[in-house]
Amino acid sequence: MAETVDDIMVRCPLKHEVRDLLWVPYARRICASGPLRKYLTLYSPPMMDIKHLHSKGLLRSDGESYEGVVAVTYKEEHYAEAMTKSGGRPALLLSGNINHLLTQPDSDDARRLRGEFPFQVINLDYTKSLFGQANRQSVSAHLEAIEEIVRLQHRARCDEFALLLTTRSEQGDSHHRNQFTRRFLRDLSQRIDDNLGQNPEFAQSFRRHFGPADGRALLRSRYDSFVPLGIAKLVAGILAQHSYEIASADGRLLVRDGGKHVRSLLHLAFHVRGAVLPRTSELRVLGRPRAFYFERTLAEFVDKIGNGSVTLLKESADRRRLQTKHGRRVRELAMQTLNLPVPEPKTRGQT
Amino acid sequence: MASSRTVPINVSSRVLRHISRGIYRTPAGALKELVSNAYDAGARQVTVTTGWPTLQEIVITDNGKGMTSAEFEEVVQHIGFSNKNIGEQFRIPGTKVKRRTVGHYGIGLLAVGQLASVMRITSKTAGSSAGFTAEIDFEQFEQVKEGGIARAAVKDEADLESSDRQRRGTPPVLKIGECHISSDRYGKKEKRASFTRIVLSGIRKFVYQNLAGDMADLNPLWKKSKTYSANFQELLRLMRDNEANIKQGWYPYERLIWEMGVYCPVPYPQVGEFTPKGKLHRVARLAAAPDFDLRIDGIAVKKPFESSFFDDPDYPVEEVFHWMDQPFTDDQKPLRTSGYLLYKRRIRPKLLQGLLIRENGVAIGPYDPTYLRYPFNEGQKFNQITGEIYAEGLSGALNIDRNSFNETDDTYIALSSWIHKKLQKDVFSRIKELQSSPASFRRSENREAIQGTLSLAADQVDGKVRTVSFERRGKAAPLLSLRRRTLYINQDHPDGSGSSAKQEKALLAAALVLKGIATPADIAEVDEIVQKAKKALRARG
Repeated sequence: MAETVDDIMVRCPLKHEVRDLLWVPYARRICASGPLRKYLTLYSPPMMDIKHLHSKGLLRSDGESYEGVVAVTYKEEHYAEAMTKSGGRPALLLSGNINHLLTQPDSDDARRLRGEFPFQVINLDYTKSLFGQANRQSVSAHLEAIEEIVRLQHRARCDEFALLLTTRSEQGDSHHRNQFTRRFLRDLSQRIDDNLGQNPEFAQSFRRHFGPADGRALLRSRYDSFVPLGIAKLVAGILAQHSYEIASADGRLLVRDGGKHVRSLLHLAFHVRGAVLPRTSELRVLGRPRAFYFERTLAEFVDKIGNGSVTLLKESADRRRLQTKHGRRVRELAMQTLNLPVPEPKTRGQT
Repeated sequence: MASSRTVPINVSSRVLRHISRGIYRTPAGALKELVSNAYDAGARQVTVTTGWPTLQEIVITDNGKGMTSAEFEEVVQHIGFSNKNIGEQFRIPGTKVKRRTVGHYGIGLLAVGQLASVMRITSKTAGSSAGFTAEIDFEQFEQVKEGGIARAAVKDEADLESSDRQRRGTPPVLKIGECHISSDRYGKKEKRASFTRIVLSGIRKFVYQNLAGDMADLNPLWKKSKTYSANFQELLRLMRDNEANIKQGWYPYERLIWEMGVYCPVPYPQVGEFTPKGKLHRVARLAAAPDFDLRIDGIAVKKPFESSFFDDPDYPVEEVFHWMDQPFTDDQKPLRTSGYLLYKRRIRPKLLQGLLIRENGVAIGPYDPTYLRYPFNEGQKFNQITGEIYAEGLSGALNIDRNSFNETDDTYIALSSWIHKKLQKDVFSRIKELQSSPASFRRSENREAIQGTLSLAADQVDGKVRTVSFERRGKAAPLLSLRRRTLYINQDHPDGSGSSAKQEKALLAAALVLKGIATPADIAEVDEIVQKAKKALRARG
């Protein structure tokens, strides 16, 4: 049976680098000293993200379950996985597609999930594209879900949270279902152009790193910079509608180029905080929409992308190095099981 | 001349076959046997993973003393000839902790056949690098190959009868299957480790249906409202909240874990009367087998008591009956029992209603709501008691499933009549007292509280009054009177009856007298004025 993306990711040292250098620091921004009270994640056995955050002191376990962890799985068999291979249970495991649970709140699980808001860290570790070719809706289910999450966070009076977002992001001309649609890319490009015109801090930073290019030119020339920037603008726009701004953002682009098909996964992390519009002192902005005010902080993220801090992790170049760095830890975390550990025999023979 | 001779009594292999097909009513009963085996092997930790809801494999691992392959061969070759004696004390290897064995038939191995078609057992003893893995295919007991095709061998009674008839006159063949054993060799570092791991695969349809499948297919709502219980206390709450559904067969997995909490010698949770300061602490120590931790799918299993069982303000525990080491037989060396009974007006979940008998900490069957067939009808009171009896010497009274009693056994009869006497003399009579006048009982408790509070206050005020007491002087007499440095409260007065509504008023009036702000006569005068004003107000409509 072919390995699924989930299976590959469990053991992948590149992915662990993302957990270690992106997710953990962003979770710590929310809870510097103690463990998180609430963590929402997409359940994927053997719960590497949960176990890693736990090992870093960011999640608490009572020996039976990870406190405050709400996980969602759309696979029935994951319930079984949760019962066997995992080292403990999430405090609440809900069954269903998270996008549907959030946008169609007619089931018990959906109601329970909504009742659990707000969360301090939300990890949307999607394995598909945010707006792929297979999408037939005008707004993808993923984006609808993100918007609903932000709305629910706001409704639950959450001041500050971390949003960890993963999406497939490979470039190409074919119509693979996990490639972004042209419409989506055009929209991201438009968002960048709007910001260049309306947001002086953003424009200054953008020009410094990318010269006179606009969104479309960036898409053509530097796709790997365009996508994180465009998606960050999109997320910032969604957040702005609910009076949130991105305090800081970071990302890692993981390129799996070891096999026949090249796959890219973009991991983004946003530190989100509530913001209040200041009083206007200029006539030109008085009474006009000021969503760009909330997006001014993205200039810092543009700098990061321009400086190459949004690291490209390539399987061909980095796997060996990261295997040495994380290999043992990854194995340990993956092997944690509910069974009492017993030694493996060296040899087996017939009597 | 009549000749006498001795003939051997033989047993058909069919009996063993029957046993291997199942003697337990529920999967929990069979699992209990495996956990009991681990307990008797001195295990301090036992983990069970079921892989619910798909139930691909059930894995039971313990860190007990393990077995050598020779010991295992002995077991499989002589099922039922266990060398364990129930109640025998032994020391857990490597510790000073002592335990008593809980099993003795040695049929735990056959119990496995009820759960799964294939069992793989891996074990190793401490101090040796050698271990073994054995595999038993339980299907071989039920199938034969005819012309290369596997067919059911002996499935119905008619076939069994004819098979036995053909065998008559020849020695009974007791071989019921084969077991394949292979040796394992471990590294030097693992020499000190000892363990046993049992992996059950090919889970029987009845187990799957019982725990996951059937209900899900029949009732889609069950699937929808499936709830994930993250820890044991949450599971108990779920059992209480969904009792009506549980009765209909919902939440079978949660029920399995609940039943294991009842059956196995696991400790009590630190709640209510089971805490070190509680009345049942000594009883709780009987059950809390030292260093025994059972985890099913990561859930630390304990006796199924929630903290809300004791903290419920609407239905508090009204009476606790408990006893230690009471003889229940008349022999020279009488058998003894300890235990407790709790009375509260509403016991939830209903599964807790009744009496649970334990031998060496292991429950014999579920809670018995008939109280070992108590001969009088006590109506509602039967549903308002929960209790556990720890008794010794019952091993001979157990049926082979070790989950029910042979009710003709002398020890069982002695225990049941002792319990019936206890229930009749102490328990139900006291409950009748409590129930006959619940309001007056509450009032008398309130009066005690008022008296205690005011006596304390009298000490602190250091006034004329030294003590406070209640007396009966009739309805017409005033509420308070002071004689020889004692303040008397008239309990026939409406404000001195101790009723919850008037409690504060009585306390306040008495406090004014204690402090010397008012005399009993002043209080009576003020009260008269208030009563007259009230009457006038009523007259004016």
